[in-house]
Amino acid sequence: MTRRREWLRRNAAALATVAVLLPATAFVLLGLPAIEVADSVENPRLVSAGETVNDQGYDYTLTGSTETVGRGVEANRIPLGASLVVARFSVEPDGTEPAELCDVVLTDRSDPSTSERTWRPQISPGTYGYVADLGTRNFCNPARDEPQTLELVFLTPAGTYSTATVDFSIRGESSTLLRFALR
Amino acid sequence: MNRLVRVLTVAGLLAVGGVAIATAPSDDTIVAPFLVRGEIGKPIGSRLATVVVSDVGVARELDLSYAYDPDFGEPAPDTASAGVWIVVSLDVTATYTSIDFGNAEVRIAGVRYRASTVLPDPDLPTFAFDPGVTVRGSIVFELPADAVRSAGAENADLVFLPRLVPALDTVATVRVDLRTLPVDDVAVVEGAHAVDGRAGRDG
Repeated sequence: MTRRREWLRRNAAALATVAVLLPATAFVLLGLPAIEVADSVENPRLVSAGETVNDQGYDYTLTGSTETVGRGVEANRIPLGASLVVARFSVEPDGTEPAELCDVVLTDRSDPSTSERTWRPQISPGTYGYVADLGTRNFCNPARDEPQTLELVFLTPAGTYSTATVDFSIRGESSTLLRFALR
Repeated sequence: MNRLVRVLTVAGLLAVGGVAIATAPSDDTIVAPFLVRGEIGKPIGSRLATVVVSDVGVARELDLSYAYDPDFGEPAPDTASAGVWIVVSLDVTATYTSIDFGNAEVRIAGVRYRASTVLPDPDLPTFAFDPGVTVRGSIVFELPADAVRSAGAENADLVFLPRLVPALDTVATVRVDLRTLPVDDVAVVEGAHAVDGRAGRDG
């Protein structure tokens, strides 16, 4: 018993240091990033159409958007009741360290009684008769340190275009959510 | 005496620990999705999607003419199976976010058969379902011929799992009696295509 007490007394400082540092490290490594992501989701940066916003190595500008209403697969290859929403972005590097991750979705939160709905860009927009311009991309890639033109095509129920936004989730030095109004 | 008590205590604790480990559910079981069961021809609503299975058939060969046009010199590949194909025709409407059915499976008496990757693009298992837009198509499963006549095949489950299997979420499931289905020579497979955007917010 005495030996145990003696051991504890000799190592008290080390034990106290470990007891403080372990949770502190866990908080810095896991807690802070989680809080940052949650904060970015709750407090997105709202961007109007045509406005340029700078974030973690890039300038983002929504240069245009269109909606093509479906008249049936036989008529224009877009189903009745659906719309093809196209959003074009200019993404220019600003010479600083670029972000590590980027994800983009179309989001609609027009009905507060239900969860938001999200659409991912179409991989093969040609299925719905849309031909993307040469050299454009249908995803955002922060790893490429060069100007990019994004042409994002979404298949949505008709009417979504008027209330939807395009959301870029960007992770690097910090986590941010850029929310572009289409209209 | 003290030593005997200690030894017995340690042995008891080890035995309890062993029983706990042996009987504990696996991590996969703990977070496994909940199956929402429904019938052929009726909407089955899960949180992720609404599914309507219109038909289930069994055949020895697949007709993939949706992807190959012989008039343009595109002979379809040989899909004659040493076993049988289960061909499931369905409509899917995603609810909140884009999903797929990349891990759809048939379960017969505990044996799981994954959806075949034989279908050419645009095929339903790799197709992304967008919220509010109904997609129609087929999923096929290749099984040993005797599997559809085996014990348990009368209660086969078609489980429509996404590629990223959702933890503790609901997943649409249809129970079918494969033993009563005739084995056709050929079954027509329908490529995946969006058919309607009027499904509304709840799919």
